[in-house]
Amino acid sequence: MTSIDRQDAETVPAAGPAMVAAPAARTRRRRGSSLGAVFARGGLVQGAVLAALVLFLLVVVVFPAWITPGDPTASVGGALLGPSPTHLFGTDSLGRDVLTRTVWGANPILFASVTGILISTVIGVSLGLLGGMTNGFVSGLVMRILDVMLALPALLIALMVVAIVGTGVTSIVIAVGVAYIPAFARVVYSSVKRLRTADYIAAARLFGSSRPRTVARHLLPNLATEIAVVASSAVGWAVLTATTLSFLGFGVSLPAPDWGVDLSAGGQFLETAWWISTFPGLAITATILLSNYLGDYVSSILDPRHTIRVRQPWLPA
Amino acid sequence: MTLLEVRDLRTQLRRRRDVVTAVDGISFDIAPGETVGLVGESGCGKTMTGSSIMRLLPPNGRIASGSVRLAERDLTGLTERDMRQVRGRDVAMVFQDPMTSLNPTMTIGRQIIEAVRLHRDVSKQEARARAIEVLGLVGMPQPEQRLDGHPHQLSGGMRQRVMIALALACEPKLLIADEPTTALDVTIQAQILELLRELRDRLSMGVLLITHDLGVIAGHADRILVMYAGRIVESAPTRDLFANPRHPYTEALLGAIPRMHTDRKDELRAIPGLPPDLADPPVGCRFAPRCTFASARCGTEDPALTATPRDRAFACFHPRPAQRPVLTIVSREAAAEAAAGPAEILLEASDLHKEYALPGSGWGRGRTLKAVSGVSLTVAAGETFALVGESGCGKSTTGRLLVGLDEPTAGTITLDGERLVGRRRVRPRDIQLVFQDPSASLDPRMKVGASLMEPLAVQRVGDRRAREARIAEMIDQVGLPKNALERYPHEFSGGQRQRIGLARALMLGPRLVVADEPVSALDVSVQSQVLNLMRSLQRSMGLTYVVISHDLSVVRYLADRIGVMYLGKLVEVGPASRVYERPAHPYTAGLLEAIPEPDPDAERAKKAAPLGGELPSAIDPPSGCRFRTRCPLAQEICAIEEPPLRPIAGGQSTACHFPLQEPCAAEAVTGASAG
Repeated sequence: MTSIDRQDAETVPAAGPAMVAAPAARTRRRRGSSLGAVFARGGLVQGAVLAALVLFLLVVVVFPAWITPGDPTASVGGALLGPSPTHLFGTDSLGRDVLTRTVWGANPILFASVTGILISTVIGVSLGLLGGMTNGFVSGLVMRILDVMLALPALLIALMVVAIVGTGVTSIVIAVGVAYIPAFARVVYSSVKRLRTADYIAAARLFGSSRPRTVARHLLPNLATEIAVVASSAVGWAVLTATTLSFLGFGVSLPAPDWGVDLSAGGQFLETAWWISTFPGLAITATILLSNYLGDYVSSILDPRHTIRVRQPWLPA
Repeated sequence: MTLLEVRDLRTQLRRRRDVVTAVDGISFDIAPGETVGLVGESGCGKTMTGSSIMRLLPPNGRIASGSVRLAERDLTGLTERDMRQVRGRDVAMVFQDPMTSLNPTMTIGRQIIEAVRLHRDVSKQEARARAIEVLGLVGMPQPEQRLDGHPHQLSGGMRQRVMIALALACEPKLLIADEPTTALDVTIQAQILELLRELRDRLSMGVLLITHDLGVIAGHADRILVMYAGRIVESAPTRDLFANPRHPYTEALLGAIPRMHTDRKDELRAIPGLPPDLADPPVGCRFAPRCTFASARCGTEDPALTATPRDRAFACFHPRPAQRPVLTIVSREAAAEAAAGPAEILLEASDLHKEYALPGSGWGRGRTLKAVSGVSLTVAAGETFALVGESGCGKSTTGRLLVGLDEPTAGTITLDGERLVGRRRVRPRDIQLVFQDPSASLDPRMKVGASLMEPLAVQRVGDRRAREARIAEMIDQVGLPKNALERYPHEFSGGQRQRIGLARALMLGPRLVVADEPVSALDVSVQSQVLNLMRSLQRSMGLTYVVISHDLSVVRYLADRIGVMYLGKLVEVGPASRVYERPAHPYTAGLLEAIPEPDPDAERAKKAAPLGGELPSAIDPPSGCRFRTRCPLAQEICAIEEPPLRPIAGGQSTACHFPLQEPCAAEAVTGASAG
């Protein structure tokens, strides 16, 4: 019944922490702001596990030799050997160690996706701010450009970038960077539209704050949470786009190791040597899962009420 | 015979680390046909009491002990299934905000029909007939057609009527009304309260009226329970309570309300501090930390609720004397008398118009919403000018135009003879705005110190040391401790946040401060603190105020001159005392009549809701005089000719063909600029 709905609604303060009644606000002060308490919102164990995994991934990317000292491009023995104690993940068609290649292959993919997301964050947030803070022509122009980009699948945009810039890790970085601009721009745009009518923005106008100053001092800090939540989830999508591009052969050139390249190279041996494709594939899956969990975690500590909606805008076809 | 019997009810809410006892051992009865009022500040357990009776507690809440007996049946012992039967059929509830309590995706008819069929074995047709009947009962025009409407198509007052209809659909024996009129305009509030009283008499229901507004309760409750920190601290028949409060808290609450007849020279009495945190209530009397009469005993021993003759009870060791002359409000500091003689004019607005284009439904002619249509006013230096009217009358828009947040469609605003136009209309060092909702007007990510620093930094005032000194001075002026600067806005209570908002508005030393509903988001006890502060700041800094408010008692306390707005137009302007005592426009008279006063006798002597109907649409205002559709005096000419604002005696002007005061023929027609 309606009255029950109301009750539920009432237990959730309507508009964020500011609406909490005074006694509650007092308790919040007592225990709310320490860093430990912030992380406790997402669960301390989950936080520790995620941190350990991220650290591990970081080591894999930056210092792959610490884990697998061998040369990923050197042949270590017979070709197409199955997993064994000497070669845990087996060897590929050229006799290279799959484990070594999988560890070393993380670098190009993760470098491309993280750098790409950083680029799209910077450009996307700027475009979103520009679109949200202006009226009429400029805003319309920005939004129509984003609409066009949204209408095209990320992969198609990435392919167009590759077609222009050529193959290589740099072009994957650019491709990912361009492809994910609309994801950020849209989120920022709609939040700016909402925030710019906020009273504190009006107050800033009344004491003469210029538009750039208002954006820097009042808008961006209030958008930071949202941007962080979207960015941490977007890395996962970017990993998928980056591997797809390198699977198609637009990434690193052989014989350098790369998950996408190795996944594709193992394709023709699937029936005889499943391990060549499977282990890079599992690495990709695990990375994307990690990124998604990380996104959830970041969202639960920064945005405990789940007010931010992260929609997966489009998956590469 | 009693209908509801609450005994020693204790309700607890579990939080992550502690348990809040929101309701702590309260007992009371309600008889059939009786209205019992429950008052107190927010956070004192009023709503939780209502929810406990309904057993609609939040998931972390539970009734720890005590009993709630409705017609001899203990509700606390019922299974959830049986309780569902009781809700709606025996007890029903009306909430503050009808928008969130009605389902926006269902037609009004379906919601009522569903409620009826849940409790009665009737066919759809019969339920529909019943729905039409109850909608008629709550005064909904054309109930048959309204059935197929959705909640968003109705105004706030009409939605609240639907809520009441929904509650009454099965003729409950007890109605719990939790702040039923807080979200509504005074004129609509009067209509709804009248309706509740009438329905109570007709259906001989018991009513528990929960509110923070002592004015509402004075006219409509038979008995009053005053709640503080989860307990009932005083209970008495309405008249006795208002005439002679025994508990210091009750007395303080009564003293904090600005009354229509309060002498403006008196300061309002404020209750310092905040109610305690109920997870860890103070030992002894819970009100002791805020009580002026507290002794050592109050800090150690908990006073019990003791009954006295004449149906009264209170929990205090030092009750206020039993028989006293009329409550005198202690004046701590007499306000300086307003400067005599004509002061110079600081701000002048002439013929302001503001229209908003609405998205057109087809090609071409988009319609326009005329929020402000031809407002002219002058504000003299050092005075307080108040704009009053129902919501939607354009008073807030006028305020936004004055401060320069919006640009008028037509008309001019001059400050000290200088026209404010285009980019130059925002004058940070001269005009500032105090917002209604202090929690929305402070940047949540900025510490208070940084928020106060912003205006100075933007305007490049002084060096760092001078700025810090200025901030320290202002934070002290508004009565906040220095360590407030290091905290974030959400760590403060509503009243404290409004103080911060005031401090920020005053950082640049403006001459004119526009305050848009400065206290309407605050509790009564806190309202009076902020109002006193505004007055003392005005005196010490020589400020000029334009106060925008729907609350005529607040305006009465602050204003020197008043402008009454109706549907985008000023219908009456004049000195506050004249307008209140001798309103010339029928709308002003009706508005004044509608204000609930914390005086049971005056309240009961009033005739039924003085202003019927609701504000017409500003898209398509009535021809001629805009008020004619609700005016008791309207005649033919009112529909044809729009009355101009004409001066009448005593510096008042009014726009009416049939003013209640004699127009003054001698004075020239000078519009609203009578100073």
